[in-house]
Amino acid sequence: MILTTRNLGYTVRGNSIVRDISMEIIEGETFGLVGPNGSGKSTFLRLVQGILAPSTGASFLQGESVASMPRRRIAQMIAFVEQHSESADRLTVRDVVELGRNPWLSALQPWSRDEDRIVGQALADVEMRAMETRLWHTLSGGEKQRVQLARALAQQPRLLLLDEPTNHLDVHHQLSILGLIKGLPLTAVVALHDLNHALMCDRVGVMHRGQMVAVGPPEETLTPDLLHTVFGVRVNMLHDHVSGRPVMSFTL
Amino acid sequence: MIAAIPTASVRGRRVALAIGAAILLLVTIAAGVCIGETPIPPGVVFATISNKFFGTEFPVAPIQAGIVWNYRLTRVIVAACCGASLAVCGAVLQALLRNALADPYLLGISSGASAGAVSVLVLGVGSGLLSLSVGAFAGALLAFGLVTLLARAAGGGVGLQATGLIILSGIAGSQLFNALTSFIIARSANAEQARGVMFWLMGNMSGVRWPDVGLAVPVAAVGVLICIWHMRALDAFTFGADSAASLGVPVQRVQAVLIGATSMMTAAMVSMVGAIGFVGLVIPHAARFIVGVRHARLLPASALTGAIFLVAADVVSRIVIPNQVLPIGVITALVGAPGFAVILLRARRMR
Repeated sequence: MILTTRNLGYTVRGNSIVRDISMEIIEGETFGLVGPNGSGKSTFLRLVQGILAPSTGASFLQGESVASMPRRRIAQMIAFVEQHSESADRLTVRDVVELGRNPWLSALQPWSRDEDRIVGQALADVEMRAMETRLWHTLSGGEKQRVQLARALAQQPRLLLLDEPTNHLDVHHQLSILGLIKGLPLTAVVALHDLNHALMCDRVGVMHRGQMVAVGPPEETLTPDLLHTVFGVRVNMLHDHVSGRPVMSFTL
Repeated sequence: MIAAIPTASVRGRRVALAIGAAILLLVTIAAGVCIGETPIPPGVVFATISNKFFGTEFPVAPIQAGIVWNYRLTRVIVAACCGASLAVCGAVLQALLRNALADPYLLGISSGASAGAVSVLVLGVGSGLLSLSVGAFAGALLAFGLVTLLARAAGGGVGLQATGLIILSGIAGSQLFNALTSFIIARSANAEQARGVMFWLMGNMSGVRWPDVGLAVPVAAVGVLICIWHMRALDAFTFGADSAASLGVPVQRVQAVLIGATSMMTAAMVSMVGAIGFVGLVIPHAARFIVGVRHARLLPASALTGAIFLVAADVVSRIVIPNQVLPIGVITALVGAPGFAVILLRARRMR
């Protein structure tokens, strides 16, 4: 188990945002996190890595309590790609990816050739090497997400947490980002909006009003009954003859 | 293909730039000692300094030696420390609060210092035992304490997650202490005192002596080093506090250390020379324009540029009107504002 949560909960002024989640993430899997807006996906992703302090319960990285680990060591094991990342600074693509080496460098340690190699490889992995001198604010949404993914890869983490990385992207970029994540030799937890994307994951977890109501392989877990309760929609399972995979269509 | 990796020639250019800036700082300091109401030749200046530091016995007229040693040199050293500190404080706060308008006086420090100084000067708080500087320092710390308490209370103890809160708290604190200062002046000051206070509020280097150097140099050195120590953490704040945390920065501790360090630097400088505006706001932007946004280069560049700028501004304030010294804050604003406008326009063309 790379990541375990036990009775994880988060409460703000009496409103519980995340309630009593106990679950495990298996080494090497791509885990899809689905649920309606406000079901607690983003909060959950922040809780497990200790950016938010849980109100109840705890999370464990390879058996070690996250709450008692120094931030630096957590960042050496977990990389996080947020839904939005904006900066007013005149950063280049390479500057952003170099941030990923922060957890591995002490205060005044000089930048080494190894660092250059890792950053270059991360840029190549997301096919952004040719754009490394471009300024951050001139990039499109899809390019920004890819650069943040490269920054996360430069962290050389064991576990990648992504908060709706395909949000606001066109269909081509959605599929290319998801393909990229699935193809990485890394454990990844991905919050997703599109249930058809969730079908591509190894396992999915469904969140509803702060609780994890179902966890398992996507085709067994995303049942029409459950989706009706959680999302309030009716689901027709279709079969795509070209890809050979199931596809969902929705009606109210 | 891998153009962004600093090649040998780029590194060489950076080293040359750094050496050039250091030489420029020394030249500015030397010029700052030579130039003034009584011009003093560089030879006399070096002879005096050599006599004092190395015990040599070059013949120097006592009056000139006195001017160099007791007035000019102290003033120039404090100006350099002050410029470096304020510029680095500005750069750090702009990064930490992700606000381009952040400056060292944001947290009410200068208004607190003014209120403290005015209390000593006009109301006679401390009945002559407290110096103006001690009053200003106490006022600065009091204001800073109130502002951070207010920000913490309003944030419900979640640190500075909503960085807007500390800016708003700073505005509230500044207004309160400015009002107190105005109230005390309006209520109790005579014309002479009011003039003295106004001069001090705009920044004033004329009272600076060796004890001030003894405070300014260590405070500036330690403060700037603390900030440079955190250069990578400061880079990580560019996408916000959550992103910094996910990059391994212990956010609350770093915020506390850096805000504490910048506040101590600012309070110490304000207590010696008053509130010199514009340096902390504009110099970091100018430095960013030259060396980029990464703090490994930005912080040293801000320190050097700030020091050079303030020493030069002090020289100008002494010679621009014969037989009269202007408040240095007037010069920094008069020179700085148009300079900043030029930077903004050129930056726009480059985008």
